[in-house]
Amino acid sequence: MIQTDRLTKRYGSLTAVNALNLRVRPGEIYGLLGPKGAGKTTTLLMLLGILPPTSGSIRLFGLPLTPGNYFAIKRRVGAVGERQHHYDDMTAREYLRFFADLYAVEHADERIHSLMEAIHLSDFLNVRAHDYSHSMKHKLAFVRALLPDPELLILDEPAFGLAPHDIRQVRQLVQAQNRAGNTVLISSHALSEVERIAHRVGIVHHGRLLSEDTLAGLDARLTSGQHIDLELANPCPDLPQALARLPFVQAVDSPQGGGDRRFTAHLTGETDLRAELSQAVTAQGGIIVAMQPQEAGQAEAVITITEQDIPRLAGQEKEREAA
Amino acid sequence: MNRLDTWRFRWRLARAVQRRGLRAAIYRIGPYATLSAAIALAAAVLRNHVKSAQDSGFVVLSNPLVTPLFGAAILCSVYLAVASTRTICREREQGTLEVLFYGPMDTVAYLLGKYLTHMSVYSLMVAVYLTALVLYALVTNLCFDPTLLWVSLLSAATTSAVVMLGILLSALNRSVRSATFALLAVVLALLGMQLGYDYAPSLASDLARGHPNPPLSLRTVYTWLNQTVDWLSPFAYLESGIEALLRGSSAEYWLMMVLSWLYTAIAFGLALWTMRRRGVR
Repeated sequence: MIQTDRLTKRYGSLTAVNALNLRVRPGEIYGLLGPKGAGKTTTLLMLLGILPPTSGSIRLFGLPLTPGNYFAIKRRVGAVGERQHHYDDMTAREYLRFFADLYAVEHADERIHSLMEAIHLSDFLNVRAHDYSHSMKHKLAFVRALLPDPELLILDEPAFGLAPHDIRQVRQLVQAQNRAGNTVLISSHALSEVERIAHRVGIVHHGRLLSEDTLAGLDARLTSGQHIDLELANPCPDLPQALARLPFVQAVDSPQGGGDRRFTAHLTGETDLRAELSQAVTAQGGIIVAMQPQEAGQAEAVITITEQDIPRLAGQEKEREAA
Repeated sequence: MNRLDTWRFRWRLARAVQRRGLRAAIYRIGPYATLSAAIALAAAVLRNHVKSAQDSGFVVLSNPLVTPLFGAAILCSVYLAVASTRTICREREQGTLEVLFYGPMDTVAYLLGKYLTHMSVYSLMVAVYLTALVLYALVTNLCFDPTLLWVSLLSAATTSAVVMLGILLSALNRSVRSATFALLAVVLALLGMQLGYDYAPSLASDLARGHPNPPLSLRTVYTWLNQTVDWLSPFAYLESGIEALLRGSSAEYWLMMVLSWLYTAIAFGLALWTMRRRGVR
């Protein structure tokens, strides 16, 4: 469905997307995860033909994204951006009719009504879209994207600023779209209600695809090893560097507001290494008052890889590629 | 999609953009205020003619309605220049331009749609002020001859160039403010050249008093300003075309018509190139 080959986008000396090889299969929900500035939005804009790539190629529906295929491709794609912008002089009905007109949607009024009803906005069809609340605008953008019943739905940060109830509604819409056999590409910087529906996930950092797996596979890989929270009675600023030199320690980081007294140590393997860790901390002059192993869930796992363990994950991928 | 289908679809998109733009324009005060000013200006000019005839008992005017029509066309063109200069950068500023391109929109269809929007507004304006001129002709018993229709046709061509120049400026700029300043700069530059054109002969003769021969460089500048204004300003095309029409020089009239459409095509090409380079964000 989506195939990119060494897709690259450079802005001067900055490389936003770096030789990205992305494969999204027909009928799947694919999550593109990564921290802010990883190059996800730039990738989506290139897939939508809005930004021209510096190098590399894009194929959608098996067709190269070239001027000759532009309309044939774009008529089959719906997209929702991170931030919503609506014309200030149009009601929601007029706005949706305008886009239905662009997509040449048949029986537009029925389609608009049924979609607006699905997200409980049918009573607001004659209200100016500009006067909608943030979540209503977001849902209206979903309706706009779903108008042509797109074979490919591209969503950029779909849960951005939405309340849990709204996220559920959006998730149901996306799932319904996927059940109908359509493909969904979701980009996000954090795992949330909507991202949980992804069949496969790709991790992007500094414009590169570092890892690609199912959510379960990713979870299993990321939660392997141990993560131990340490709390000390005395400040110990040199502890992270000292612990990082130990062979069984992958990384040590300090949570926000933890000062020099709270740390998280990421250990390799499943063996209980708390005694060795305790000994090493004491050797550095630290007095441990609490030592608690973390039980990472999926949400925590993805936040961990996107914010902290990117280099480690990249190393694993290189080993895999070499194997 | 083959090439014909692509263009059919593109035309459909352009028409959708045009319908949306026209609907938005109808609910704005600008076109009505401009039309009112144009009709009032026409009335003032005609009143002046009639008053001259009353006072002197005799006045010779070959086409008394041409001047009011020229004034109205210029006023409407200026309004459309301002409106078209704001059109793309306003959407870019609001973020609606990017959203539009999430859908099956391309730059050619978008620019064509914007152009058609402003030309439709101009067509409606022409229809209204021509009707007003017919009424004035009936009231004053002045002749409404076919020359006025030819002037209207030429004014549509020159307005097309003005609109496309506005769209080009809009595509070049990221904000409404910078686009407005750009338009102002263009207008001031043309005005400056026009003033240079008007004052160069007297300046040259002043300078020539102390010299046996007028400075050659000044004469060159004078000629250059004259030619530049004639080539760059669509309003100069309208003026020259009307003069040609009144002189009975149809070849020059049609030359101005062709030049106006050529101007439009070049500005369209430049706007297209600029938008593709700048993107929609």
